[in-house]
Amino acid sequence: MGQFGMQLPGGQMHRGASMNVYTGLLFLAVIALAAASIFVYLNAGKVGKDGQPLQLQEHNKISLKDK
Amino acid sequence: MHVVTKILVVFCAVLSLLLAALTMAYAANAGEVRAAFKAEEAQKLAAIAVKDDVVSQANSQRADDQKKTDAATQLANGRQAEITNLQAERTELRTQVEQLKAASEGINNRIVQLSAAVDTQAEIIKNYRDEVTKLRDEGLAASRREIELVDRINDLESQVEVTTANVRALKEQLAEAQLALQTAKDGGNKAGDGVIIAAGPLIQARVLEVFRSPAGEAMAVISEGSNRNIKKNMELNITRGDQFIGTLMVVTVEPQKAVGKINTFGKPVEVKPQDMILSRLQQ
Repeated sequence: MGQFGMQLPGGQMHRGASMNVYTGLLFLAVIALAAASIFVYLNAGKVGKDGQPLQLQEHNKISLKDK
Repeated sequence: MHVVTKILVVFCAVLSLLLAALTMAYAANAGEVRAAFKAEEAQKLAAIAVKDDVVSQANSQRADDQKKTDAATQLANGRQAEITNLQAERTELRTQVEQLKAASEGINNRIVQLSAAVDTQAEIIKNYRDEVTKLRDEGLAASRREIELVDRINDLESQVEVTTANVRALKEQLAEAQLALQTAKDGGNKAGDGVIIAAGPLIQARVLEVFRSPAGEAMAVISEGSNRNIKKNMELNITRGDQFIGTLMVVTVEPQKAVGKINTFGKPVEVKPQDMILSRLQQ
């Protein structure tokens, strides 16, 4: 009956998880990672092959995106 | 664990993966770009060196070309000056040619004139020759006549000279006759002594030398003799300036001089050389 929120006698009281300090730290980490990712993405696009951040340049055949 | 925390964990993991992938790709591309940049930089330096060499060669070549250009310019200037001089000389030569043409025409004209003048002069010369021939014949005739007249004149002059000599001889004879007549009239001692008094033209002479004869008589040599009609025993007068000194009795006569005896009539005067001898004291 506990699933109905009924407090049964003798039953252990069930309490839900709550946000704590680690949640805040994770949030800050996510924010920092997102900012770093965006920054690196933008700069990787400048040096990537044909402006693609994840494309690797071939040796002695550098190809940059013309702006 | 709260669901939000779980979601954040998931996001964090995904973002970590994404960041790692981007970082690796960025790093790799950055390395390639850096290597390429270095290579390009090396090529750039090599190109700059080559460019410098080329520029240096070009400068050298340009300097050589400049020198050649200067030499060519100088040569061209010299040629231009020479051309100018040659043009001036050509102009001068043309002028001279024109002048010579004009002179030639003038000479031709003058030749024509001179030819005409020569013809005229030839005719004149011919006339002159005829006239000269005529005059020469006349002159020859005149010369012959002159010769005849000269011969005649010479004959007449010879006759005149003979007549003059005869007249002179007659005059001398007359003078001697007059002298003899006067002597006869005087009847004096002189005539008796044979003393001759000079008559006729005045005789003048100079005393050349004074000496003493062996007998101690004063003697004098005078500068005239028989050439001036001085004769032996002729009495002459000795003067010095206006002073009468004495007389000279001629004892010896030669053509150019005579010797006589000095007579000072007892006066204490001495006859000296260069004293004047006169045949008479009055003109």
